[in-house]
Amino acid sequence: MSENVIQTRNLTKDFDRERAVDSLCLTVPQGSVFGFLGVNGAGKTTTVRMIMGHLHPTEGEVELLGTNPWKHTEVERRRVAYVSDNMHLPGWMTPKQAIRLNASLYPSWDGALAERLLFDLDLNRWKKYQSFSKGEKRRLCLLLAICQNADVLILDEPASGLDVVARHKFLDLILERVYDGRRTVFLSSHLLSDLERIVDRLVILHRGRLHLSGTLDDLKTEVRELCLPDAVPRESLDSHFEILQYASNEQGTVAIVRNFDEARFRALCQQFNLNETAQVHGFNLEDLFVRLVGAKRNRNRLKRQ
Amino acid sequence: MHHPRINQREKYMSIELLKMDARKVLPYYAPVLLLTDGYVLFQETPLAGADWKLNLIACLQGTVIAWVLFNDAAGVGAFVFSRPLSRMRLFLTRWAFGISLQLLTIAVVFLTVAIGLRSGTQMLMNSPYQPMVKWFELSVLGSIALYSILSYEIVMFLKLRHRVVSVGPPTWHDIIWIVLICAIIGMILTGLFSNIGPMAYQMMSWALMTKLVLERFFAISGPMYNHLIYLVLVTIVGTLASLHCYQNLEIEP
Repeated sequence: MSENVIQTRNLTKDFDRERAVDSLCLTVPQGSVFGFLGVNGAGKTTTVRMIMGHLHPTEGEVELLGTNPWKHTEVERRRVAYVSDNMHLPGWMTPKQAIRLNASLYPSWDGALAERLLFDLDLNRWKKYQSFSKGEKRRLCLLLAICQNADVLILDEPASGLDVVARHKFLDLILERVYDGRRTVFLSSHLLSDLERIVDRLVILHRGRLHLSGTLDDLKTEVRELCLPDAVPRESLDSHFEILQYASNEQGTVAIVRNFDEARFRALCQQFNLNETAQVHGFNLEDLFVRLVGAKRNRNRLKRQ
Repeated sequence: MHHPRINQREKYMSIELLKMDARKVLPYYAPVLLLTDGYVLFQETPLAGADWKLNLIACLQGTVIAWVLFNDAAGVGAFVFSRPLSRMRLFLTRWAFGISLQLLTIAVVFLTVAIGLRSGTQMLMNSPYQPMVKWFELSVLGSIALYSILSYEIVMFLKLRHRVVSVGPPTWHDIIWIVLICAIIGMILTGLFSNIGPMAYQMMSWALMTKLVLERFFAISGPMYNHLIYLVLVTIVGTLASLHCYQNLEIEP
């Protein structure tokens, strides 16, 4: 039976008067590649920092490997690898020194892989960190995290600053090294194509709140857009589907629903005597994200105006 | 019981951490050490504990070491604090390293005076105060230690203070820490404004016990005792309060 590697309960974080994360409940099972998706400012980094024990939650609880990350022992800390968008090594450190440091800190360090990746990722082992380009810095941080052979890999926008080739190489590495069912990857990103390629579970965060969650396959098969030629009341749709988004006027109804299946849809068509023009559209991850989050963003902007 | 290989690894971890901290602090520490030793070497008048210029340099030393040691550059904190080093280990390693650097300065000053480097330099400079009473001049070691460690403790605490209590309603644990922190601030102020007067700490029974021990076994009494107790108390309370803050420190992204 797989246990939960990361669990949050009503996790909330306020900065001054602004709520960055709002009552977030997450469960990341062991062995999953978990995508954490949201636009800039959605609260992804704040959540990741609370999971890592770098920030105190205002309310709620967070558990990493079954315990509060603030109370982790050095043994538990060794089981977690972390890369964030803003993480930096000391400027004077060379890749060789960084590798030696990490090899001394982690008993599971894979020295052979580190040597291979130095070559594959085209990193000069004698060059100081401060003289690396942004992409090289990111590649070195990822090398250190991957060679650590940790049970949990927490990556916050890991691909920012990487070119397309390096990004593909990194994703391949994740698939090659980490996708063995034992290790867990928590990947926060707004690069949908990357997430779609490797994640098996996904959460969409918007304005600090959980907006949608599920396995990628479920989201692809169960989330649909219904375009109905007549006005159908929300309550009636509600009795058939879980509604994620709804808009209706005299010309018709457009709704994004969660637990779509053909039989329910036919029952709905019969109930409202909808003719052949009723349509159902599927989504890829990017369309779904843009439709869900983009519409909500516009609504919020209008409200503010 | 610890496995020998784990002990070995812990030793490596601490050494690597020390190397990182040394790379960070030494460029700032070295000029202050040179300044201190240069002052001791070239000061023409006899050195005494009340030398305000030397005490000021000692304050500068404590301040620089604490500030640089407990300050991680943007983004480096996320790297350091995500390594498998407990907050306790990080703090104690850094704190002990800072104290060791200050003791190194004292050792260098001691050697400069004790082995005759200072008197030799003064002789070359035809100083009017030559020859100097080197054992009398060694009393500056105490005042360097006092001002340097005091500044170190205060700056370290102020640097880490922003996480005095955890988020949410204060617990008894937090309240105890707030009382301790108020005590340290009170002690520092008492010390500063009453010429390191004895009032604040003599009220504490364990300080009185220490006084008895010092007087009986080490023949230390009077102002020297006051300085020593003041320094020890500020160091203990300042270190404990800073450790508490460090364990609750939020890491900048």
